[in-house]
Amino acid sequence: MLFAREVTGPLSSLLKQFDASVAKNKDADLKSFAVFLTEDSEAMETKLKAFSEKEKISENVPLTVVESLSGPEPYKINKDAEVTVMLYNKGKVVSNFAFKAGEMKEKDVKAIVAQIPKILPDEGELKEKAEREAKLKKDVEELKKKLEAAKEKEKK
Amino acid sequence: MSTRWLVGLSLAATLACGASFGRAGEGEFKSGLQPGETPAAFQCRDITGPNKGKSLCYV
Repeated sequence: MLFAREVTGPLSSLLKQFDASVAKNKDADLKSFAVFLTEDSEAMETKLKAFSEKEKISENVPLTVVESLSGPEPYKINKDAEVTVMLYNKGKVVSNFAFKAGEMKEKDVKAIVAQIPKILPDEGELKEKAEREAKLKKDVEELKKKLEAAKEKEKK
Repeated sequence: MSTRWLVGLSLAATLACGASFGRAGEGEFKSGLQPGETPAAFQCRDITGPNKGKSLCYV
């Protein structure tokens, strides 16, 4: 999750790398989104549409808007922060990065991206997830068969 | 004698740690939730994502 107040600097580089990470880790359910804080949501919307087209940011990283410069109150976004990044997993923040205007550099983008593995599930968790999904699929199939059988019985 | 020396050394180490933590805390720029905190639900308007045009919570 990323909060920004401007579309500047290496933000496009960071969002492109989030985009690639989400695409690469679909099985792990990695998700990402960016929230732009603004007082003029119409102007920001125009800017974001142009930005996503130009930089080819896919739907993997939805660019969103909140019409408030201070952002959602519980998030305590610093009034001087241009970019705030929070990586979280299982309902808890794992890493936080915050930058004042013009302070985020390419090396910071690398540092943020390097933290992504921290919020990815390990092999055991992935295996458990795959087993849960397989069981769910099997249960749904069985239920469908039962429904069809009941319908056939009703016809007779 | 050796006990006094150890106590002295330990006190000096504690003060040095305290001083360095103090400096790091003062200079740090913070924004947003910190590690261990829980992200709360909030509404935002999707502009370019799969739900473009809708207000929803992505948390």
